[in-house]
Amino acid sequence: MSRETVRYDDAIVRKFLTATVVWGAIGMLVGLWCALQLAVPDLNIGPYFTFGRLRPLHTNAVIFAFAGNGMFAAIYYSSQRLLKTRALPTLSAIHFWGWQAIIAAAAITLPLGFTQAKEYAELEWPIDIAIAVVWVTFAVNFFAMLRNRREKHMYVALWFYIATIVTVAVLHIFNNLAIPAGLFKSYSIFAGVQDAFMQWWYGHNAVAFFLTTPFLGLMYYFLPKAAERPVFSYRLSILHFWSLVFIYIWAGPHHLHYTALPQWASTLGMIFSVMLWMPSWGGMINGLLTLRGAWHKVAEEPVLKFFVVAITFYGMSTFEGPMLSVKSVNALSHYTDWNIAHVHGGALGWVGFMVFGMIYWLIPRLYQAPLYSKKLASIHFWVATIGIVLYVVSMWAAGITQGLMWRAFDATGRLQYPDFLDTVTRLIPMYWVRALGGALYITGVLIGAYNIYKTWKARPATYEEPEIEVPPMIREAKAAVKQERVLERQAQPREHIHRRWEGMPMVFTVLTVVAVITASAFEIIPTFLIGDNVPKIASVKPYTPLELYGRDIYIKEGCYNCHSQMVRPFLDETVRYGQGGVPAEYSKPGEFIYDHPFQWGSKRTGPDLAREGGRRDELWHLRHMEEPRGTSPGSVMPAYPHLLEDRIPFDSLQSRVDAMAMLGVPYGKAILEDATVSAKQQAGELSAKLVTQGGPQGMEDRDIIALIAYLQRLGVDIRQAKGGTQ
Amino acid sequence: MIRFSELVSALSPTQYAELALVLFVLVFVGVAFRHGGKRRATEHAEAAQLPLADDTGWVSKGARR
Ligand code: HEC
Repeated sequence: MSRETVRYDDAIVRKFLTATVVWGAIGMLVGLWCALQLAVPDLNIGPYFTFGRLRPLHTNAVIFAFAGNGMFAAIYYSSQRLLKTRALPTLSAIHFWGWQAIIAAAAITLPLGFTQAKEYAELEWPIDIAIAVVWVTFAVNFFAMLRNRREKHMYVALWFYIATIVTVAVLHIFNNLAIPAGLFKSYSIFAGVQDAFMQWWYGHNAVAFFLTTPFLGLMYYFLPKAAERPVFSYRLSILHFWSLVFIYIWAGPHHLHYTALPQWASTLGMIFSVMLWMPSWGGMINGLLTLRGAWHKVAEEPVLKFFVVAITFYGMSTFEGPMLSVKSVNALSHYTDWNIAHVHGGALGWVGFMVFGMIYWLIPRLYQAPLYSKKLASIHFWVATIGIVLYVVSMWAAGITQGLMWRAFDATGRLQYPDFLDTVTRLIPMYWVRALGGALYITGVLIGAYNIYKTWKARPATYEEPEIEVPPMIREAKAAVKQERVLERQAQPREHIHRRWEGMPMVFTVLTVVAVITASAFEIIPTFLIGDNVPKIASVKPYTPLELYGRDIYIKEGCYNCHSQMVRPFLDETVRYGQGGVPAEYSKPGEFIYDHPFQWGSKRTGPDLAREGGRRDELWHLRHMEEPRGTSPGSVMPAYPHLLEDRIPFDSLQSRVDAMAMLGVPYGKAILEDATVSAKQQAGELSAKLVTQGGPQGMEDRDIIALIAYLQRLGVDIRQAKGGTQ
Repeated sequence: MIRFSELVSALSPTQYAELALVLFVLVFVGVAFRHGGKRRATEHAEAAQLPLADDTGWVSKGARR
């Protein structure tokens, strides 16, 4: 057989690696800024750099820029070697530059307030299309490598990559289906319960297939290399793979316990979440046992230190996750900072340390120079580890404190902390500890960046690109393989079917897709199609054009980053969010049928707003939005004085209304013909009301009026259904 | 013609959930069955060596400081 050679493209790996570190540092610094904003509200620099606009920038940067670029570096390095083939340079370049352009676009548009207001899917539709195109380019590049491979067996890491590539594509497309109402404005085609369901099907599986599976692939490849021994059990890794792929998809509804989501879906989500514990821990144990007989190396080798702690955090987070999915735990933990603790254990501990372990292993090889300083790498490790611990412990404390204070009743049967502000100010010390933890972690990252830079400085003038002798391509050797198969079959009559699948990437990919689609369809189709899931409430009417625009301000400012709109069926919530001594109705699915997108939120840094209408007068809202600390001393809500200046773009209202009408929202003829008349009339009435309350004149064309109109509408329809006074 | 939504509504949500569980158990048993047994052991051992067998590039152990 003739010998052939190949050169791996490591330049692309170097590029992605640099991007990982640079964006990682930026994304985390934005996170630190957000953390400090919650302790020092003056750090909100409006209108562009308020918490509501920066937090999505932080989450998107860390997920898609830091973890994303890190995953691509890992995939290009390992796949080329595992498949003994070179990635296609043009596609790699499009992938790299396209992805960085998308990140830059995110960094510009999110502070500008262009957002879909769905967590981790905030980016507006033109960027979503760009993401789809770049992702497909990546997929083509990857599958071309599979097709041109020279190694018959597909190592398990590659399976995890395949699952990532196909599932992320499916998730991204379905969750971002929207009707544009302008170049940077769109409305989700789903509403209310269904939109929430889609969002958390996406959100949870983004955790699964963007933050877990690729990094498991990374673990199964780089850990054996660093430990210089094969994975403890290959069989376990196979079980780990299929169980994760099959179970993860179902778990999304655990983000929506006790909401207006149908109970069966929520219970299903809980059960599958608890089931996830098994494969996850199987994977963790597999990782840790790979180090059997190599533990002495862990003490000396920073790479292994990072990996061991990363895997430990994988175990902790995948224990905590199922626990938080249990409804009774979730009743306490949901909407609190406990979730923030949970995600940071996963992001800083698992993903972050996996990435840095890989980077320290890679840089001497990529820059072809010895690591500048092992000692600095160790310092990075320790500083960052202490940082994570401070972060996670303070947020656990904050979350449990919050949860317990919200539900506490005193001996007379009244809420012990009826003023929500009490539960806010109590957390400030913990916010400081969290910021310190985050600062330490970032210090570690910067030390790492310096170490990488110094290593890079010592690189040779030109990199060696060794030619590797490789066997012929599998597909070209088809005939030979066929022949071999015949012989194999003769020698071993019952050929192992899985082995054959692995030899057939397409079949394997199809099976993965089938697992993902089946599970998704099983959950999504009944939720969407079983009619009585969303009983209609006659008094629930569409938002007026002015309220709709007010809602768009709510979306633009990212109020959902601090406020939920979902009163759960608990006594403490119906009492807390009631008015005039009358408990509130808990939220019903039928209330949200015109909410494109839903705004249920996931965190209550501020109080729930689902029953806000009529709770305060218009002037209070105006003063509060202008300077929250004026009405609510000690509040950490950003100030929005610009809303009193900015003018309502009355000429844009029609296109917003039309987009909603296209989605089936029943606006009457008058509004469809001219939405502006109605909006101006409502704005005039409201601003007159403001004046009678002693407020400023001339607010009838300002954004604040639209926002107040929206806030005063929240929860009003359902009260009417119950024959209330409103 | 029966409508798709009627078809979907033929099963109650709980039945969907049960069906899901059965599906999962089948997949699990299937994978376990395929990969159990001693016969697979050598094959898995070979596969597990793959990441260790590709160190072809520039390698340097240790650090400057
Ligand atoms: C950093 C988190 C944060 C953001 C972002 C935020 N809020 Fe708040 N909000 C709070 C906190 C904390 C409170 C409770 C203290 C207070 O009244 O200011 C609050 C209170 C409120 C209240 C008073 C509820 C009541 O009746 O007691 C309203 C209304 C409100 N916010 C609306 C908004 C709107 C609208 C936005 C977006 C433009 C927004 N908030 C953005 C944190 C936030």
